[in-house]
Amino acid sequence: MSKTSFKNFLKLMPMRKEKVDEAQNTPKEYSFVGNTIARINHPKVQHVIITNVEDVANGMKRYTFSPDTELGTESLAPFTSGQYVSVKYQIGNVRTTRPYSLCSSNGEYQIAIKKDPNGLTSSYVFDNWSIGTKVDISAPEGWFCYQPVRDFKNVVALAGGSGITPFLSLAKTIKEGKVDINLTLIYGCRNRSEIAFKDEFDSIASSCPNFKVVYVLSDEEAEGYPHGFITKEIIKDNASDFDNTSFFVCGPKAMYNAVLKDLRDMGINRRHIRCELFGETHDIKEFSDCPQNVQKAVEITVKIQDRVYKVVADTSKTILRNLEDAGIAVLSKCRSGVCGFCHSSLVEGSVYIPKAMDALREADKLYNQIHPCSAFALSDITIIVAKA
Amino acid sequence: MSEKEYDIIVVGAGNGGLAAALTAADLGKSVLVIDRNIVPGGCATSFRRGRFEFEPSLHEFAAVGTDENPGGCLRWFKKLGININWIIPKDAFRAITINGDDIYDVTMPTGIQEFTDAIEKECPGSRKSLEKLWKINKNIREAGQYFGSGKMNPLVVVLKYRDFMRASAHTIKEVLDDIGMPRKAQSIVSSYWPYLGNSVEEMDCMLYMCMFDSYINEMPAIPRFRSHELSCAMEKALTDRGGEIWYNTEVTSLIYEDGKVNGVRVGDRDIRCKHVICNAFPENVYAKMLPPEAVPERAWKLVNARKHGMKFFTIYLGLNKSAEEIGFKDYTIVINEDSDPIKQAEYMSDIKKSPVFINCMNCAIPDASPEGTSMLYITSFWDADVDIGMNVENYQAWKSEIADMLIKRCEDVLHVDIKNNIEEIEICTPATFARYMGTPNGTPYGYQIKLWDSPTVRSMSSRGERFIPGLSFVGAHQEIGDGYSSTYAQGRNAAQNLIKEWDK
Repeated sequence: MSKTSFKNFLKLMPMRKEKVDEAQNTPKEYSFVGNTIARINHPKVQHVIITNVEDVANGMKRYTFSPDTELGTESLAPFTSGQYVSVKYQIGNVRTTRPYSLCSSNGEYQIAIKKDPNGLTSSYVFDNWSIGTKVDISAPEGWFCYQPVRDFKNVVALAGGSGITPFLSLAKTIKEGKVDINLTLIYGCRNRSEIAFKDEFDSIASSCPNFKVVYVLSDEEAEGYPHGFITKEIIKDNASDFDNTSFFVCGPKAMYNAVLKDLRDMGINRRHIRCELFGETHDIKEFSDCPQNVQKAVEITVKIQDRVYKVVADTSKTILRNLEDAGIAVLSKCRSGVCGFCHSSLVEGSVYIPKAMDALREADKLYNQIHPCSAFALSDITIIVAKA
Repeated sequence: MSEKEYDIIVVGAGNGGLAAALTAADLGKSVLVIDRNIVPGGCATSFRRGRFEFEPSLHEFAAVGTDENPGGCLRWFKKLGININWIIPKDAFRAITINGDDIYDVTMPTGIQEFTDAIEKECPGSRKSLEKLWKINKNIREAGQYFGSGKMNPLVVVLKYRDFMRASAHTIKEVLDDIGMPRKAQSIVSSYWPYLGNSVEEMDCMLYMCMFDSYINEMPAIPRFRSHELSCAMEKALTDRGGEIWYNTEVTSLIYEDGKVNGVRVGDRDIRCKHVICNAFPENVYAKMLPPEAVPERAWKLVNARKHGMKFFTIYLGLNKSAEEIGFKDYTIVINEDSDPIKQAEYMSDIKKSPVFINCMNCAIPDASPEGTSMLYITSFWDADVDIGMNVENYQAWKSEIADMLIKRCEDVLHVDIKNNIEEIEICTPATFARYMGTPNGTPYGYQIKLWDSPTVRSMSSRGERFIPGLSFVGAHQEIGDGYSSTYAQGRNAAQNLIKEWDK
């Protein structure tokens, strides 16, 4: 007990003084690679200009975005095939967003939008977007991506309708040699006129031995095209070695149920199947477990920072849609209950959250936190929402 | 519309910010917390992928204790009416070394007696030195209680708390050598806390003993629903007391007038207050949020004299087999490449040999994920100044390469198959942590602990290091350093001290 002594305690403060005295008295150059990557990869907003518009199928257009340097966006954030951007809209009084998968490969930003005659945003886009239109989009988001640590080199992609877009991005990335996988794409459409990007897929398939594409038509019989929906038979006809294959599924809601059942029947392990976002919800009746006899209209009191708004709400629509329709901007990205960006506090009242869209954290449920994109008001409610 | 003036505005809803805000609101002050994220807690949160909910940062919450014998934090929570579903893991840790003079694979229990017995069994002849260590520990605890009561008479300290002074003035290595602890016992005792971020030759023994006390003596615990449960509970306690939190809101600058901070600027709005408490890193605030004339030279000197805490890399895995099927029994496993703590500290600069911490959540909370699945976190960390090879161009490829390497290291050492059971994976790099916390390279650890920059010395210096009137700081970069219980305690102290001064 001799080498250490309490007396050395008296040396500590002078030691600190000496160290601080010696240091530079002006700010140092202050830059860290981690913070730089974070800034480049996750900008809060990206201002873009539409630089090209093309028809890619019957009722489907592709838009190319370039950075709007005038508004301060010098370059666009890098992304991984399968990611989406959330586009901001102001349509009349309505302030909303929609997520779109990027259909280009990294380095260029393209999205494709299919016209939905009943859809607010797609009609707006078809009527208003042209070369030179300025748009605000989010940073790339989402996890529907090939993950080399987790996934097999053999990938089967099952796409339906406009769910094709992330796979065009992946196919292009394979062709560019930036990801080394074997992709079999099984693409379900109604008829030949609705097949998007056919020339591009055919061209990649002809020049690239690790990409293969099959078009399946549900409403038209044509030579060389399997007829019907995507079934396990069609999958088995076009791919093999299912124990060593990762499956990616993207399409309309009805397709998920059917395809997932087929994959389960084929004995595919759950961990080898990835599904893209569930997608926008239009009506509470889409969910079989929805409550009955809910009053049609309720009042939503919304607190945003120190402002309070009151909104008469239609209970068949999500809380998010009701706020947006009333002209209140709410932070939202996936609109499917999973990304968490619209996270809000429910202070009073009761809500219904469909099981299919419930990706709340356990503690959210204990403390009445909700995702307005996937919650319906059942009574008058008060919520605290972040400023968008 | 005239703006409301608050007593206190807290910038950042991390652990320190929330604790300060809650303390001030509990003392009747009007409080506004502003955070650029969308949920409370900073790194104290959770995230979901598929059917898994991951814990991003908390390994174990120190000083929780039990209902019968509550630790500091639990007593504070109870006073505030905060109830957390605490789970106490079975053992303290399992430590494995691969090379060196003492290759071992030991599982260490909590409880002073149990821990001593386990070391004695592994390394006969250690008991006496451990008992000396506990004696020092007891003195440190008593000193802590003395300081906690608000007293600090130098004469009393010199007469009664010499072991506290000794442990503060010497490194871990010096003290362990001095009490005659055998080499292997030293290795085991030191194995668990490389994450304190510095070598046993550079860190003071006092902090180390405090860690020991709170992890081995006072039971550590984890919240059942990840640390998002803690942050939600803090937020509710705050808003129940009239405090407000604005999310997705960025404070662009502090309002500095007449030599004093008296508000914050949010976009084009000025919000006034008597005092601002910043959870953000001091140099971020000095450089980006204040006019240059507000920051005295001494403040820059202190910032420049210090070194940042370590960079982190964590892989979050949702596995589609149970912990049992994979072969995991322990909640915490630490793998050290070498049994010599000094060599191991050097490996903090070698991304292939740095320590690896593995947490299998389901070993502590069996139903933390659905039946037949489990969650695994693999963490490694590196010295702040080391070039880890990550850059803007290679980022995605680098991320996968390091993740593959770390998973393989775990598989090789533990003889388990991880890779072929991955259902969900998220990889967080220093850039990911930087994105959410804004700290230099995402460090959650503030400044590196050194003899001259230890909690003891920081606390003694803090009064003279309040450089800007109307502004104080909370967080891992402050007096008590990193860790959940530390940042809560420091945030609480900061608010209490401020209000005490106001009341004078």
